[in-house]
Amino acid sequence: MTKAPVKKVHIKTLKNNHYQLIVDGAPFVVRGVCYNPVPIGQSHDYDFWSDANEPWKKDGELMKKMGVNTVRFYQPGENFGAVRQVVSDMYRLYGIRTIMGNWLKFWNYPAPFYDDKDFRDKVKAEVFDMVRALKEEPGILFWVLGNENNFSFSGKINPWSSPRIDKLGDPRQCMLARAESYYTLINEIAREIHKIDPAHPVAMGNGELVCLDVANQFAPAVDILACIIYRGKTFGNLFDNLRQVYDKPLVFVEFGCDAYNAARQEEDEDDQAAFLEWQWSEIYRNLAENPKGAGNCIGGAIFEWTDEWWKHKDYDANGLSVHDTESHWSNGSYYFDIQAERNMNMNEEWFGIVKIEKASGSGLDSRTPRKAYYVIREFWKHPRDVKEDAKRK
Amino acid sequence: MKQEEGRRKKEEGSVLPVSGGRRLLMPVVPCLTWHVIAVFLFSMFYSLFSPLCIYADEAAGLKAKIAGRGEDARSSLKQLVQFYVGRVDHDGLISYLKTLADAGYEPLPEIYFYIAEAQVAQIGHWRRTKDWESVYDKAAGLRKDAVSYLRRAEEALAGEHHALRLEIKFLKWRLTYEENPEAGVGLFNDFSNTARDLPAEPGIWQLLERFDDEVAALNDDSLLRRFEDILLAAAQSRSVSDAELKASAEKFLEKKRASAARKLFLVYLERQKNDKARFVEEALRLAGRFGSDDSGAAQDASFAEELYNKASVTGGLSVLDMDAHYRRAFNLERMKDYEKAVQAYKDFAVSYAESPRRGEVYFRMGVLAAFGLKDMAAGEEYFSKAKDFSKGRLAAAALYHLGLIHHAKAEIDQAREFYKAALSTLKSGGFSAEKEELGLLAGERLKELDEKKDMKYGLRLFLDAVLQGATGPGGPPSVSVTAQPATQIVGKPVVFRVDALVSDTGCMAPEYTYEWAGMLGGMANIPGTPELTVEYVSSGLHVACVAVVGPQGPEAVRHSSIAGLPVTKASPDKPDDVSVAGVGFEIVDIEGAEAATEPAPQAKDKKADKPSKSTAVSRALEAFTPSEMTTD
Repeated sequence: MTKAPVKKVHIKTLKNNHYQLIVDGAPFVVRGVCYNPVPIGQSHDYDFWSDANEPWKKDGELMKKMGVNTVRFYQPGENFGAVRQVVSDMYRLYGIRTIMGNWLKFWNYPAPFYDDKDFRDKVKAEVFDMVRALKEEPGILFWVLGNENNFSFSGKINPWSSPRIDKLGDPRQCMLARAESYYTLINEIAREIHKIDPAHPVAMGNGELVCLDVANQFAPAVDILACIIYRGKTFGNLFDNLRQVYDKPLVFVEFGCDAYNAARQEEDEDDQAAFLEWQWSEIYRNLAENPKGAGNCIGGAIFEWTDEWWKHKDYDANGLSVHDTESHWSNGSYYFDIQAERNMNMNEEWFGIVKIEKASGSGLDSRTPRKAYYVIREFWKHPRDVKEDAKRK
Repeated sequence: MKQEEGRRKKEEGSVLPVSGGRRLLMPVVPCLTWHVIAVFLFSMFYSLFSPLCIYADEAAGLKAKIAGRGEDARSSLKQLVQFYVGRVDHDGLISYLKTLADAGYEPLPEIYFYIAEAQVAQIGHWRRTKDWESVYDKAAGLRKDAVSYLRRAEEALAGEHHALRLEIKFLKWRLTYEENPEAGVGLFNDFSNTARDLPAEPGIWQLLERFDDEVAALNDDSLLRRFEDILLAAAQSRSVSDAELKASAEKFLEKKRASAARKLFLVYLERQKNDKARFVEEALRLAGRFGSDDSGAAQDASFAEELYNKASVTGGLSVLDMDAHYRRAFNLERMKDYEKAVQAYKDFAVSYAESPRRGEVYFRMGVLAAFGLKDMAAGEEYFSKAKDFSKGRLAAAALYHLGLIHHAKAEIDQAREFYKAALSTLKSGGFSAEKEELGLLAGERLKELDEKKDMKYGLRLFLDAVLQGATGPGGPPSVSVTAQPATQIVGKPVVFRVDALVSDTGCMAPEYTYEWAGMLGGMANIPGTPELTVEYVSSGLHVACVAVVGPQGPEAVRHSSIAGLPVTKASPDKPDDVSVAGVGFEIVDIEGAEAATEPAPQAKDKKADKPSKSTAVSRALEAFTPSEMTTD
């Protein structure tokens, strides 16, 4: 039996210049979640794709009930057969599509040398292998290249350079040169993917809007901008700003709110739910055909589906089974707990809209949806403009 | 195969020891022992399961009474509802009540109401236990059902069921409020009107108190204020006894709900008006409760002053005893009403001329007059009296401040004399001038005078602004410093906080710097912070000062234009022409064991020098003898 032919997923530009994602001939709003359900006691090297417990089946069921229509994976596993099975299960059993990402070897050791031809070739080869292996899966929605890799341009995170860039001397010139080098690579990959797989768009995973002016010049082949944004309750002027800087359809591939109040030092489901509802409300306001917004948003993927207990001090094997409450970074936009000690209020291990606990007997951790799960479920059923509602009050 | 093997082993194991054991034991254990074992086993069983039996019995008994429709049916129904709710068995309750409703049981309004109440309690339970699935999947249906039952209850309600009518209205509002607070406004008004129109009836007040607890839990201040008005209306209707009213008001005060407590106490006091003595006694008692306590915190300082005033207007100033006199003045000081505070302290000093507290009182008056009222002459007079009526550190502090006043007025010789006197007073009191903050400050001032240098920058800014008392166009901001607590023990932190209120900048807050000076326990000035935490190492009264320095703007008290003194820059990076937006100060009282300095024997008796305020007046009254009226 042959598989049904994959229909084209594409971006449509409407007469009013709004952008719409078209899937199987109909508009599609990405109602997604970032999906990286590392079990309690395991770390980032956990092989989700080969997990005999098949967590995606339990999760897929819960996601379907919530109204999730897309999951975002950061990177496929090495066994493409297993990956295809998961993508297929998610789509066939639950109607959930897959945004498939690729780190572009960002976390490789030594640092990613995007200015080095050999390295670039290796990155390309890996991405093209992925596309070739998975492009026929009907569940694939689009590809995402990178994830906040642009934060490395300034050298503050995962620094990289090249003799050519170092010669420039001036830090700003070096940063722009790194951006140019990286975005050129993205452009080359995107153009090649279009040839290999014309049925799926290519998105670029960018942290905030940093260096998008450079991308505008060197990465025109990208179809969708996939942003990672943590601005608290509101995305602010992001939608309008993007129109000026890099006018592409926008999908959020990470946004959200942790469910731990670092000031009160207790789980906080209420604020997480309220923040997520505000964020979704803004996403909906900026979808195509909504006259109140910029019309350039095509949806988003909440960070994230389940908590990840491994994130704090992942080098400590004992800590992998502990739900740590020590905060990792500070972000004043999440004002409800910014009064925490040293203003450290962001808890990486608590971003799930589903909490996990060690279940006795079963190999799979138990799943308990948080309040946000239900609030967003209701929002997707009956979208409302939270800001307008608040103003009326 | 493995299963069969396992079963056989189990059977073998169970047969052999039991039958064999029994055969061995029977002949040697007397029959009595078996009785004891049986009784023990029964009692174990009973103790484990009797609560369930009692519960079941109790429920069955209540249900029988309800079914019997006797006189106690209604109260039994209420008890049964409490019984089920206490066991969090909402389903059981709803199911039972629905059976009654379906059978057309009377009194039907109660049945319908209790069904709705149980449904609301069920939703609340889900929320509390974070059972979100039930909250989001079942609550909407249950809420709709509850609304329908409330409507039926209202329809079936006979005219005289006032309490039930009120409960229905309240629950209707709660149900809507939880979904949409805005939509609940009309229902709240309906409830409010019903409550106001109700005739006096026993039990209504308790009902309102219960509602108040529920409203308070919603953390909606404006709603709570509206509810307090309902309580006030009910209190004024005289359906509430004096005792109930007083108890309610006390409860509010305990819960730090000063606004509600104040409203009810005013009604309560109004009812005591015919008995003057009682009125005064209660007013003074309440003034003490609402006013500033030893830590300087007050539930409602201005209401306390209103009560002191009511008491003295009713019974004359003499109704205020020494304690009340002092507390009133202290309360006024904390309210930053310096004029009235100075007057109240003056009244105290005149009325209790023999009090050992006079020194402290005059010192406070000196600070308030000089720095608060910017009346240096009065300040000088009070500091002089403080020096006369005290000894040790307090006398030295008074002398130091006299020095400051003269120093600020460029009366250099007098200033020098007072600083020297402060140092010698410390020494004669057995304190080390090198270790005492006061000694170090006096030494610092003397050095400035000797070297013809300008005063320390922050202190100079503070005194300039006090001396000039000028207001720029638009007026200076209102600056107030609050110490928390105002009475602290040695080595424990006191937090000074500056609030600068500017009226003409809209929502834009000017970027002020804060130049701290005065007695800061050796803490260095941190100009950028409106909050300073200080730990004092010596006991006594300490005065902290701050000059709030603004960006060049309308405040404009110019440092360069001071009276007569040579102006020098405190340091190259300090401008000599700055605008002082305002000044503030605070007096803190430090008590307890010394940490850094060893006072001389005569100074160790701190109680005689200055009793702790908490029991200060009563202790002073007990301990006071004419021989203790010593001066330096």
